[in-house]
Amino acid sequence: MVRKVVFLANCLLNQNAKVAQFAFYPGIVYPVVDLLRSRGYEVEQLPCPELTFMGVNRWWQTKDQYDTPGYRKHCRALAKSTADLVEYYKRQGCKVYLVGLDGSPSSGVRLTGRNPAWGGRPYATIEQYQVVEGKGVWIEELEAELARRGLSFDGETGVPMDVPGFRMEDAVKELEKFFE
Amino acid sequence: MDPKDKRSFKLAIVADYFINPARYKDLPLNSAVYDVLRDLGYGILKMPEAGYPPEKAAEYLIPVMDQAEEYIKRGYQVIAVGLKEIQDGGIHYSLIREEASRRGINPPRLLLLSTSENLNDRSFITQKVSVPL
Repeated sequence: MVRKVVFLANCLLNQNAKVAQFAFYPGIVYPVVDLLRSRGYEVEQLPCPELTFMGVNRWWQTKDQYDTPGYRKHCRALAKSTADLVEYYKRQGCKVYLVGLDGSPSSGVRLTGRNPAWGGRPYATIEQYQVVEGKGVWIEELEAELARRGLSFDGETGVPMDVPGFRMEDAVKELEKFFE
Repeated sequence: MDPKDKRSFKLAIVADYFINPARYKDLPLNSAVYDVLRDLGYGILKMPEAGYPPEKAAEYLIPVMDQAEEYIKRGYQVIAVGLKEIQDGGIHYSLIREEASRRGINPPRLLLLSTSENLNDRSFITQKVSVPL
C-alpha cells in the first residue's frame, strides 16, 4: 500500500502561531488533523515563516506587504529544509500532499489576502482584507524550491481559516472530498 | 490578547512517534499522548521521524528552535515530549539543549515517556504533561 504523507501549514497543528485574533482553537486544529490521522495519512508540519520573521506579536499584513525581497529570501531559506523532507518521502515512493491555510498572505494555496493600500500607521478592518485567488508568498517559494529539484506535491488544497465567514464544518466536508 | 483569540500559550516539541505511531513497527501503535496534548490545548512543533538522516534533522531543528525561542521570549510555555526508547527521545533533545544554550535561553522542560509506562492511560499522561514549569 502506498504511504500518504500530508504537509500541513504550521498553524493547523499550532494555533499559537496565528496573528492576533485569528487563533480559532487553543492548539491543534483537531477537526482537520484528526480527520487525516483517522484516514491513515501521515502528518508533517511546515514551519511558520511569518512567526520566524515578524514574531508572534506581528500586525496583520497582506501578501502585498509580505512580498519583499527580504521575506522571500527568508522563505527560500526555510524552503530548503522543508523540501529536503518532502524529497525524503518522495524517494520512498510516498504520495505527498499539501494542506495550506487559504486566505493567508504566506500559506494560502488556493486563496490569499491582498490590499495594496495597507501600510504606514496600523489601522485595519477585516473588510479591507481582500481575499483573492492565488498562493501566499511562502507557498510560492516552497513550490519553487521543489520545482528546482524536479518535485511537486501530488495534490494540494487549503483550509480557508483566514477567509471571513469561514465555517469548519464546510472545510472538513471539503477536505473529506479532496482526500477521497 | 483579544478575547476572541483562543490560543493556549502552550506548546510542545513532540517526537514524530506520538503523531505517526504506525511508522514505528517495534513500538506500540496506540498512545494517549496526541489526544492529551490536543485536549489540553497544546500547539505542536513536530520533529521529523526517527529514521530521518541526523544531519538533515539538525538543519530541520533550526527553524523549530527559532520558533521556540520566540515563544519562550514572549512568555509562552514550551515543553518537549519524547520517548525513551527512541534515540535522543525522538526529538534530538541533546541538540535542542545545545541550541538553547547557544541562544541564551532555558531548554524546554523534557517530558521523557517510556513504553514501560502505560502510554494509554490518559490520567497518567495528563498528570505528566501538566507538571508546572
